[in-house]
Amino acid sequence: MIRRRARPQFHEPSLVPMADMLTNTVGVVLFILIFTVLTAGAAVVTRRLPMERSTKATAVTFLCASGRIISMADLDAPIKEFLSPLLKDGKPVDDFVTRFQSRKLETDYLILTGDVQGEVAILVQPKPGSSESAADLNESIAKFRTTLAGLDPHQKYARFLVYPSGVTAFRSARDIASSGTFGTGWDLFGASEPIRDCIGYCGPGGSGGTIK
Amino acid sequence: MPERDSGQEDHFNLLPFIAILLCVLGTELLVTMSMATISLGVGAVEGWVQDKDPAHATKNPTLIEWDGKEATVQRQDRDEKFPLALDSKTLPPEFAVVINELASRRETDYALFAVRPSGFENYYRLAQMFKARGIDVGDEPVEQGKKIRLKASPR
Repeated sequence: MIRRRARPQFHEPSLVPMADMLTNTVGVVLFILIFTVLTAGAAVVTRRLPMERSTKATAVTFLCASGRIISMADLDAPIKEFLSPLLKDGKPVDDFVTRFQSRKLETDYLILTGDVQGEVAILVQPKPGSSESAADLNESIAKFRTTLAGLDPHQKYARFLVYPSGVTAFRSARDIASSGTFGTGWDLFGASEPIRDCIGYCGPGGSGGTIK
Repeated sequence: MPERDSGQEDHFNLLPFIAILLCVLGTELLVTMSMATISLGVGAVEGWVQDKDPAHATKNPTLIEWDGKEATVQRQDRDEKFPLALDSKTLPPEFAVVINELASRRETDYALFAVRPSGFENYYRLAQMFKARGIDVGDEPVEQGKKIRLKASPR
């Protein structure tokens, strides 16, 4: 007769220690969560604000819009290109006003259009999606960085034209410029406010060839 | 053929409990890290400190937040909000008091504007009201929802 081996009796273990461990761990992590939230909630990130001072340095202009930085350092060339078909021997062609108003020139980063409303001005707008974003500025090969690297901080300062959509990009760019010992300046533009480069019949508040 | 020992089937498996424990821990850690990131990142309060220029005497800033419709003057004990319509000829008398106060301290104080993107359009008109009274003006563009405070400058 074959004797069957006695089947071992199953003892259900108590789950109380496991539940105890679970609640203890959850409690400790909750405590850490509360501590972290309270501590971090009261955290203040210090930002040093530059003080205004006069300078003899000349401006290198950058446009901050749509989260991007667009160099306007070489704006003279597109303006010359914009005007070239409208001038003959340095004088306006016969139908200058009509052709000026309908003229539109796109560069890699900018759109130039003509506007005649009391004064003769070229409106400059950023081309959507072009140029460098605030994140791109961290790259060492960023055009903004290479542009500044080729300039003397004693001779030039960075001037920013800031649109509402370009605040974050402006602050990143200004930090980079300041870390390179460049002076900085900025002008604020409303969302629907174009940059006007007045080229003729500029009134008392006209820009007379300079930006804004 | 010998019967298989069925003891293995009776073994109590603790793996699901460990899985629950790890899931709870992971979730709580995620929440903790998220809260910390938000608090120290986009939700962090910015403390503004003005750079000291040893060559020039510096004035004391009065921080005014401007969002295009409402000016918030930060005081030490409280913030005062002034809804402003810049198109109207007259300012609210309470805000005129603020300008008068600053004008009376123009030698030692200046107005520091924190300009929100919604206030870019008409900020210079507001600043002109202060400049017209001989008050020095500074400005700093700041993100729409960012909380800001003035911090005392280090000596």
